[in-house]
Amino acid sequence: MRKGIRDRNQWAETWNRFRGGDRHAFSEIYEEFIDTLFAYGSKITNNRELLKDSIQDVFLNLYRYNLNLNHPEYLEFYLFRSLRNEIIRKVKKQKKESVLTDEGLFLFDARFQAEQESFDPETDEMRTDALRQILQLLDPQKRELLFLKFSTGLNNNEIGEMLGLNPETVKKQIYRLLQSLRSQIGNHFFELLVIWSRSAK
Amino acid sequence: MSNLDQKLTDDPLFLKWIFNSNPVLDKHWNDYLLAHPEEKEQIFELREQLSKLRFSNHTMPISEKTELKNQISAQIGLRTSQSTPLFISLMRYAAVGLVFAAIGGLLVYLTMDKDSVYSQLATQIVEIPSSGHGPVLITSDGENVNLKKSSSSVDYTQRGTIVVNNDSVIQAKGSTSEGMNQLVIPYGNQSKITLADNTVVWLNAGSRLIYPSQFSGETREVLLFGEAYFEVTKNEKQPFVVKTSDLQVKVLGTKFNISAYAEDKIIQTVLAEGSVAIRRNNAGLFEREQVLNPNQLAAFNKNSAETRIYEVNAAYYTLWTKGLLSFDEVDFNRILKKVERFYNVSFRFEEPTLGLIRISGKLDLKQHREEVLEYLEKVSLTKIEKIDDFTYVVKK
Repeated sequence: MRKGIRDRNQWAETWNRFRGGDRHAFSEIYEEFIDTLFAYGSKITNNRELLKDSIQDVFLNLYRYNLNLNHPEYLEFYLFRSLRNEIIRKVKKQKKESVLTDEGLFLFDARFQAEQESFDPETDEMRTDALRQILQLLDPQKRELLFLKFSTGLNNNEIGEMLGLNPETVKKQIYRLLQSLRSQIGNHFFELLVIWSRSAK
Repeated sequence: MSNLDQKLTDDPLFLKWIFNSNPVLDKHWNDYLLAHPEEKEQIFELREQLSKLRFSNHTMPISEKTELKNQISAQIGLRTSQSTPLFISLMRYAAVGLVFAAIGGLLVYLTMDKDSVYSQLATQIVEIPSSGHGPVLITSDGENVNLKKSSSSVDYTQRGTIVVNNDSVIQAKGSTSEGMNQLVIPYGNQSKITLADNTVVWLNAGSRLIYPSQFSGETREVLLFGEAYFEVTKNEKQPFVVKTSDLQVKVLGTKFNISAYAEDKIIQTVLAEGSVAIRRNNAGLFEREQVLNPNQLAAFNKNSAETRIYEVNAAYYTLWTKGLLSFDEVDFNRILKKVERFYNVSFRFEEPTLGLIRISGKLDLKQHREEVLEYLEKVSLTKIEKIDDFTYVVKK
């Protein structure tokens, strides 16, 4: 098992050791997923303590109640889905009102790095604006979809399960985003080319 | 969309290489590219496009991560094969004369060697405490002092004592010690500090200043993360140097503002009075310094390492020290970003194009939050709706 290229099929052995109470195996699992779990959880709740408690409970429950996970290749899926459910459960308990929007969607607060560019009146600005416009059109559910797709090893089926979407829909969303990125930014370059070629005359 | 594109975007290893790589993965893809040179161009193009979709992520300081891990281990009751202690709350490194302790994610250093302190403190990821905590001063003795008020002041006197908020007095250890101190300003707070040489520094929300109790040596050096306005005491024999993540600003006696937030792409230095010279950290011997005149702004782009100079009205950039904000045809979302830091709240736009509206006006942030938001509503012709104490939505 090459470190860094571990894929889902290689968790079986580590998983068995974890079930046996091996602390080092737990450490391997923890180190592999903690950063992304934390990043993911932070987009669902601002409450850091609640998030850490949730992460703790996810692992506790994993050990106490789900040791008979027949398919260790679902480990990552289990972790993310449980975390999501655990946070929502805890947040609901804290607040009496609902934390869901009218559509029943939990507000997933994910920002892209490109959305947070500060002032930069350079030639770069045009490209950044086009990109930002596309990104700002993405609603919370799309952002959650993209986060799971890009930052975890979850496949379309698993992502679909977590978000209540058809795996085909998951696939289409991603391709559509790429297409719009290409067409938008491509067009701007075309416009620039036209302007430059005109002024050169 | 081509077959190759489809195949790649569905490959978790490819995505991981773009968003969260490591050396083994880099090697894996380099090998792949060598074996499939015909796919090279497409792969690079796809990689470039997907890179634009990187998320902004919160991270945990390493100490906190480890603490959580140990807590979980202990709760589960896992065994180890070796006899390592299950719960480590203090780590000691005695070898290099360096002692540090983790206290809720904030690290403190006591050392004789100034340079190693700077590099260590600079690379350490400090969690800016969330609102509810005021600014925190970590003295060179390792004391954590809560400054309580959201707008506080710290003064160092000649005798080496520290006066906080014109009120309580702390004894600083030894007037000649090179002990490093750290002032941490969470979002929703501001602070003012008078250093041992009577230089006054205003620190904006979400900033940290690392400085010695006394200045000795050839230069007076401080380290800044975030934004600060300096009024530096003139001393030609001992130039004042502000170090940030990428740049250092050398000063003789002057008034200037630096905005060097980690999450911003641009480091902005604005000179009000006097003169400063800006240099990149680790600049080569022959790299020229950038000298600024009053009412000039130097914008350093971290990505391209280029600096551009603009003529500005410096007063606009230093109004924040008085809790004021003045803007002329500025994007609405940039203004809201500053308001976010000041109050430690967050805004989201119901329609993204609302953020691109250009607005002009003046804000007095010392007023009640609701009044400020009302003013912004008028100026931008939008409605700003409260979702909870920390979140607002901007609607048409």
